[in-house]
Amino acid sequence: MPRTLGPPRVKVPDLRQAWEAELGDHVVQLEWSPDGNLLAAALIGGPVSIFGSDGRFLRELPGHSFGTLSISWSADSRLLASAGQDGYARIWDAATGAPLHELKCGAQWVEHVAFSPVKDYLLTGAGRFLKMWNSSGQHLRDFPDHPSTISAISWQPRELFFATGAYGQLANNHAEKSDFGKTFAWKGSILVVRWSPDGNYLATGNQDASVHFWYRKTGKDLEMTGYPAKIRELAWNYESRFLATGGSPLVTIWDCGGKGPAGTRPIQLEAHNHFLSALAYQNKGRLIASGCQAGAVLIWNHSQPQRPLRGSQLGTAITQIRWAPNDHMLAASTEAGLVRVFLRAEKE
Amino acid sequence: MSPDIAPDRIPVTVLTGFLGSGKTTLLNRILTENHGKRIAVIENEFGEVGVDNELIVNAEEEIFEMNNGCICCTVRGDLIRILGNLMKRRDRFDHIMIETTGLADPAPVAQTFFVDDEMKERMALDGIVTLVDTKHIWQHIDDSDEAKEQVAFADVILLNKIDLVPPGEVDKLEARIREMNPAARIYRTRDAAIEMDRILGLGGFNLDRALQVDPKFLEPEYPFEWGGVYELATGTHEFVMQDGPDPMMSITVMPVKSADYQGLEGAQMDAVLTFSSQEKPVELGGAIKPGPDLHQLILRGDGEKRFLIEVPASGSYALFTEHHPDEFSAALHGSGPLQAVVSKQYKPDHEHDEEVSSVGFNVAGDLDQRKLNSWLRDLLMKKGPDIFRMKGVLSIAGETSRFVFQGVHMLFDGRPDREWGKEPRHNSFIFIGRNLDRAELTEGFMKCLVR
Repeated sequence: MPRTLGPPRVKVPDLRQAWEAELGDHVVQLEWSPDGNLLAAALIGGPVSIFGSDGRFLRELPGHSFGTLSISWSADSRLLASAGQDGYARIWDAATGAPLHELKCGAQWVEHVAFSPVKDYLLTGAGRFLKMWNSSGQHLRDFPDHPSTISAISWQPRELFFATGAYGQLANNHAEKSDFGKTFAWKGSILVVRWSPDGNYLATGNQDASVHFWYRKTGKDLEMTGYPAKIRELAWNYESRFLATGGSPLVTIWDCGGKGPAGTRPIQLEAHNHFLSALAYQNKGRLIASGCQAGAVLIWNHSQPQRPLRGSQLGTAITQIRWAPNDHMLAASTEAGLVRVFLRAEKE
Repeated sequence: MSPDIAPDRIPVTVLTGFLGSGKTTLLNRILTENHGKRIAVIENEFGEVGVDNELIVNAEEEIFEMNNGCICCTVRGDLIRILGNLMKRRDRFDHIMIETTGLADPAPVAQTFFVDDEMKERMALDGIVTLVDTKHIWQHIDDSDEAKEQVAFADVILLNKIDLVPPGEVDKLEARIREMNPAARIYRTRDAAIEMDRILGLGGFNLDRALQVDPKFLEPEYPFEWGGVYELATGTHEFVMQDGPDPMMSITVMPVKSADYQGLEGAQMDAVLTFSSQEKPVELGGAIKPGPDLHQLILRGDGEKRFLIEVPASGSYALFTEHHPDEFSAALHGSGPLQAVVSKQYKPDHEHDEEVSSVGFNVAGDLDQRKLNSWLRDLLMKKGPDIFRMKGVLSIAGETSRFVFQGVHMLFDGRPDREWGKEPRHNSFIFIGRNLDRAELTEGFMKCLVR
């Protein structure tokens, strides 16, 4: 499919831009600090840039030679962890940029790093190896090796459970209980794992163009198929009721309330002229932001699915979209290295 | 950049071959030779290292079977991840080379570039290069499915380590491999020494180049060795034969539209079908009528033998013979000996003992796209797992450009190529696979031609 750039299919008012920065390289991850004061952008070439929420460039961390693959903020917003293609995860002091700890993660490519939002734990995933550390760089625990490369790590937002995805399984573990491990075996390749904010559902986006749901307590699962492409974009709304999915130019939203999504028709938001590449619901509000491979960012209220509320064109494929913790700002990044931050209009 | 792959897609070469066949030697050459290309190599052994201008990435083979279990949807998950990251880099590569483990089935690697939407958009399979250890291949080729598949999937085959075996052995091996995969280009090497442009930039589709190597490779193997077109007057003619190597010979005679090559080629597929029907024995002096019957001439006794051909109305007729008429010093006689206006020798149909083989066509005319699609769809649904590779240059009715395509199992990738221009429109098409049914494929393909 040609990567055509251009405006979305319908005309929408422009998003209000707060600031932007040109980083000149593919932005692999974009993360607001939990206090909302800092925005970190990791580049595939290695460096990680840190900005103030007002757009001031604060510092650049060297990241990882051969490339950075993942970043994560500690719950207190003081530390940033990064992982990359040099076999290490690193913990940095966000205020000074000083490298504090270097963690050897067991394989050449460390693809995942994730601080717990609840307690001082840090998970790293490298190849089939899953390790837990704390922010002082102490190695706390090795989890059993996965059957294939770990493709996703997701902490349950309120507790010490976390889920990991790989080819052939979704696993649910607990940071402190060693006897907890629960595995949902499934013959498929998981690309992304998302907990619902209430911790009751696990959703995965998969290589075989399907979305899979698990009810954590019962292990019961169901699957949504029929997407034209693999699913790398998943976002829950704050009530844990709606799950937005990509895998096509449409934003496809499943209502998991009531009897759940089985047998229901999803809400579909149609305006992008290319496949989606990023999705994010607000943390407390009802808006959803979508980004596509043709560079458009749109925001929607899914109860008015006819048209997006506002939009912006960033020129190249959108790689990440993140709402600030207070939902007042929205950050988006592109494969050419543009980071653009928008202000939410009051009326929305 | 290969001229045959759209410029926004990076060409990918897959390197297969058993342990000890010389893959590492070849990779080292690729990494150290000055060929002016920036190549990323995905290997099994090393970590990620930059060697001057190159990049080597370690991969642990992870084969992802999709939920439905269909072998054609099986892909290499590790490659999707690694190449996905590679594609994000600003320092773009001119070429990607993927080394597979010795026992690997090449299909999942190749299919990765057809199945995954992200891979498909940014990369294209340029070619599969298979290294063969000339000395040790005999231990595998008969009973190893992997060895057969690696040969059958290849676009280029390097018979390596030829210095370790007598030349006669290499000839024998080459003949054997040709039989399994006539579309591949075969080179003989020592220490995997080969010019880079013979293995990189094949273009995936480049059937023309394969045709230059062996212009006959795409011709179907015919059940007859000779065909000729005659202008015949109404009345009885004689087919006169001398002693020859066989006690019988099958022939068919059929009216054709014109006494030229077009007339002959127009009839040859009908003749193939006729030759697959039950023969009717004809004794010495017996009579034959033109039509869709296969006549088996019984050649009893020594000396000259005569058979009668009864021509109902004057016109152009084609005669197809199982053996070349020269083997029997045979000729058609009217009032005197007659010369064929045009004639053609056909590649003989030898018995295949190979389970892995090929079926090819090279046929003039235009294809009905709708019929072709539906034939291919049905065929691949039923036979996909047994069809390893498919390649073709097609003449689609109503299109001014050649249509080129290649496939792996059930998946294919095709697009319009250059304009036909003055080149005569024709269709070259080859299947390589296991237990292929030549007659069925030939018939199915012929039905797609616009009549």
